[in-house]
Amino acid sequence: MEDEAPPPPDPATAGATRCCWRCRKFYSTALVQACPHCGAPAELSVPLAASTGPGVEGQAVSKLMVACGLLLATSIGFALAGRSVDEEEVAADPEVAASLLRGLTIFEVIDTAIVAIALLKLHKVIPFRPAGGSAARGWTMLGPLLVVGLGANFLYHWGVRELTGVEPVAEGVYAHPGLLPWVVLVYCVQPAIVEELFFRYLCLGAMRPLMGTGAAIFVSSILFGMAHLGALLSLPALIFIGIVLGYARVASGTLLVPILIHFLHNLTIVLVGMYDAL
Amino acid sequence: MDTTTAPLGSLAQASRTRQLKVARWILIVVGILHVLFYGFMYSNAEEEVETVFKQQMRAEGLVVTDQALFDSEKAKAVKTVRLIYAVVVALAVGMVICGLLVYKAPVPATMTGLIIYVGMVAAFVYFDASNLYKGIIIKVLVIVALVKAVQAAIAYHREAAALGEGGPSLEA
Repeated sequence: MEDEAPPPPDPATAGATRCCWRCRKFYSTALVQACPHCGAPAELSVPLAASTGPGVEGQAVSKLMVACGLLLATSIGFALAGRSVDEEEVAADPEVAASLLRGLTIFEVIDTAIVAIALLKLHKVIPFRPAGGSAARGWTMLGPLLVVGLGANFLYHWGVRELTGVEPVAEGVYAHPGLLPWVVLVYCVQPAIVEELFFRYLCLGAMRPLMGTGAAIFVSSILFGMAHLGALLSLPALIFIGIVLGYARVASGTLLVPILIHFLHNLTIVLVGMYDAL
Repeated sequence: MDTTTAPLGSLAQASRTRQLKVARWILIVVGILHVLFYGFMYSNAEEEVETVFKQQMRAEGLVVTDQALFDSEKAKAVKTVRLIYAVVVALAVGMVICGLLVYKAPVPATMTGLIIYVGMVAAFVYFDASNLYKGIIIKVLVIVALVKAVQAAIAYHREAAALGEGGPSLEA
């Protein structure tokens, strides 16, 4: 039978008290240099006094929240700037479509700069390859997860169209196949790399130690959905896709799998949209 | 378990629990108010669209020449507005659920509540930029309280883990 956990230590002696990293029981380093309960070396355990306060993960989350606020601000800025644009006009005139893409490119450069700064500040405290993932499993699941994400997206938008007659996403730029390389760059390549670095590497990585894997995937997915505020009606589908991408990141332990799923997902949407527009 | 009388281990933990309690009530009250208000707006969408259409036509001196087309556009606008209100009501329900889960899972609940609230404020600014200034003091106070609650929840989680309380749950 397991020993009962000892009572919390006296705060007066907390400086010399450590919480064992292996069995999480308390002991005094003034008496022993290894955990008397399981024998784990003391130098790896957490000094009790240092364990209070927000900690490294809490500070990382605070910085990420600021970065999220900035990303949200650029998202609103772009949505407000593009609100006066008539999608029918964009579909009819390639010059207007090119001008819209120029605006989008500027906002994506700003987003990329915000994420780059967050990466510079936080890459040392968030492990790039978290424990528990298996690259082989991740690559095996790439196809099924892509199908699930795309299926959910098409099903949701089809449902909204059928039930309400409202087109949740109208993209006039799809009517111009000549702009395809530019569209692929700003709709597929940049979001796949920058958003995965931010939401699946930084956010998910900072939240996992604080709330567990499942909750971290869910919260980072809500954050991912909220960052796409310009497509408010697509929010449920975006949150679901965020969960799929988060799962891909955790299951594979690598960022390449979610980046590829995100890229192929967006590319499919663009190609289907262009095919429909022709 | 009554969390206000729970053995928390330190005064700092008690203070964090108070912040979580404030966050819990903010999330529940703000969520319920949004559900009620936007639930009413959902049911009133037809009148709202009618009024906006009339105002716009009067301002631009337009008259209806094709009643069928006008009715179809109006019906489409009503459906879009209702869909937007439905998403907002769903988000507000999410806030209430986060409020109810604050003691069970402090970090995810407070963080999700903060994200949803900021997202909703941002969405209203997107629909009408003047919403940024409407009730700005209340919005700032709510955001500050939720940010403090997230920080308190993280610190609570760390201290609870260090004290061997087996995780972030504040409930027995």
